[in-house]
Amino acid sequence: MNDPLLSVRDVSVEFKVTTGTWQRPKVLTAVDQVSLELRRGETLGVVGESGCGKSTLARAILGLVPLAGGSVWLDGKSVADQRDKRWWRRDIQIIFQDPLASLNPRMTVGEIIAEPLQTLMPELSRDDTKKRVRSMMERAGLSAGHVNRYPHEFSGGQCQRIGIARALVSEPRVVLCDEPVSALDVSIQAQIVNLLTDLQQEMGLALLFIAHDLAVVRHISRKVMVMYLGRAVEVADADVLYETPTHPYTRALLAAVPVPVPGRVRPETELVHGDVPSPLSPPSGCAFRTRCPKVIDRCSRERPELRRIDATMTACHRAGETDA
Amino acid sequence: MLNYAFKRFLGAWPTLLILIALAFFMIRAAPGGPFDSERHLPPEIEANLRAAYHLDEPLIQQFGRYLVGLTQGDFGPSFQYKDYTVTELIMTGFPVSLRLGGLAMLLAVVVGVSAGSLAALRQNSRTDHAVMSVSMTGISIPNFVMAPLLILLFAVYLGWLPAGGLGNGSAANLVLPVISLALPQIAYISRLTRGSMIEVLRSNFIRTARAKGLPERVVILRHALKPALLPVVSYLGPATAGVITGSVVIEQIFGVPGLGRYFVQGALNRDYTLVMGVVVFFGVLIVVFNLIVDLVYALLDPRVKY
Repeated sequence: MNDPLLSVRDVSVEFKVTTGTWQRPKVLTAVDQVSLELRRGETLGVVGESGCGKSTLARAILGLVPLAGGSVWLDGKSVADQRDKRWWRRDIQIIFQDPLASLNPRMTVGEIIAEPLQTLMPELSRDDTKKRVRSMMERAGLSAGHVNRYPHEFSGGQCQRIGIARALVSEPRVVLCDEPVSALDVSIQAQIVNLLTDLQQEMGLALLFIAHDLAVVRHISRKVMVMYLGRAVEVADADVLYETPTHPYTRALLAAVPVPVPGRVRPETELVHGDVPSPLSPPSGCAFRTRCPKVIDRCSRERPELRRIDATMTACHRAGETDA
Repeated sequence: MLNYAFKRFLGAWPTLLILIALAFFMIRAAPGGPFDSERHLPPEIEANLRAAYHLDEPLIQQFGRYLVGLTQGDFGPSFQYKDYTVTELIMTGFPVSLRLGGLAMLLAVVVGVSAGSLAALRQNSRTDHAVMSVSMTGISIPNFVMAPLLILLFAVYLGWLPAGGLGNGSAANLVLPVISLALPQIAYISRLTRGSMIEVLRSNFIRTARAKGLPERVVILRHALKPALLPVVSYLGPATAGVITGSVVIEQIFGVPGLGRYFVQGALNRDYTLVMGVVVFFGVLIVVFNLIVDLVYALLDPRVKY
């Protein structure tokens, strides 16, 4: 029970970027040696601003983009070892960000949800497939009578329910949620988050929950990982991370959350300025040093590794200093 | 769906009427007439001829007479091919053009869609560049250059195929004209397919299909092909109408008695009724094929409702 179900070790993803006709393609490191572990029934939140590699990390775990380094293990088995990837898809599924665009507009909802069963469990009879599709739809909060409708006949929230039903119909053990609620209204967001947590308890799912909304992530996750420019900069239990952030970037993120009290303003001190550096030429040493309020010489020479400070894993040379 | 088809059918009549009127008055506005030739006819004979074909009547009356004839399926007599009606001429030329053009379009769709999809699946690879260079060449070389080159190679040097004529209608006689007709279409269709396929492959629902664990073959055939074919289908409607009504150039080069040459000869000879007949026939085909395209759209995309 305490062995991790999914473990990701030093995973890197690189893209070749063509900058001009005659130039050599440059290498963009979208995910840079990220490791994580996920246990049964557990939720790990991943936060960070756009372009920091959150979605790419999820796709790499699923095998939708090739790994440039590192390995992904499920239940002690490495994905790279097996030829037939179907067991992998059956156990790990993904929920995408844009609910409507992620559904094939030319297929009925029933066909969309049945398709994973047809490929991943060809042993199921037609009737069993139909039954499973209907029951999954109802568990996802859809009416089973809507099997023959097309995606465009549904609202955004309902489309995301279809996406959830599609992901869960093969009864996976790990579900990667790639910003599943960021395209939805706040009231619908709550419904979808609650649906996910309900289904998680029902099916004992391990969730990797990617979002840029810090409040949503805190609500759903037990542990949270903060990413910056493709690297994991801080990992801790949700409450620890939100109450006592150790990495300057985490502090900046938390400080940027608007205060829901009119007239009250956060102190400006923690906010960072400037833009994220180009991932094509990341800064030497610590990736955050160009914007960090506490930067020292060492930050440009040495890349900080994740290390334990109290209850937190953090990648900052200055974390744990008494004046921090 | 039937309702929609019927509405479109009704809507086609005004279009055709405008087309007929434009063609009717424009061909008559061109200088010269059907009975001008090098040998001067005595004025009495020419007057008699004009009267026999009702060319002495006011234009508007001639137009009315022509329309009445059309409603009875009568395209009138040809002015140049004595003893033939226009309907007879179209019916001798069209089957030949239809056979050549139909085969050419079939070939163009099969080869063009496959080559275009292949190029899209291997975007920026050597295969892609090769397919696209060949297709660019195919678009750039006009068929009056391509056809003689093909004849030179396969008929004259290699001696594999006949250089021209329909012979007894054997397959060997069809090969070169069909290929010459198909080449530019193949080039165009493969470019269209490649472009839209690349776009479709980048879309989110294709990523979902891959995430479902489907084999790549199923992802392409079941999820990507249909949406990628939409631009090709809308191109195919008018293109097919154009190709099956015959290409003057190809028919002249290969000595094939198709419909295309009647159109050009009719226009040069001021054979009013023949030109009109071919124009109306072509117009009807265009309207019909566009209707077919719209109906096929509904088959390819359930969001299209009529």
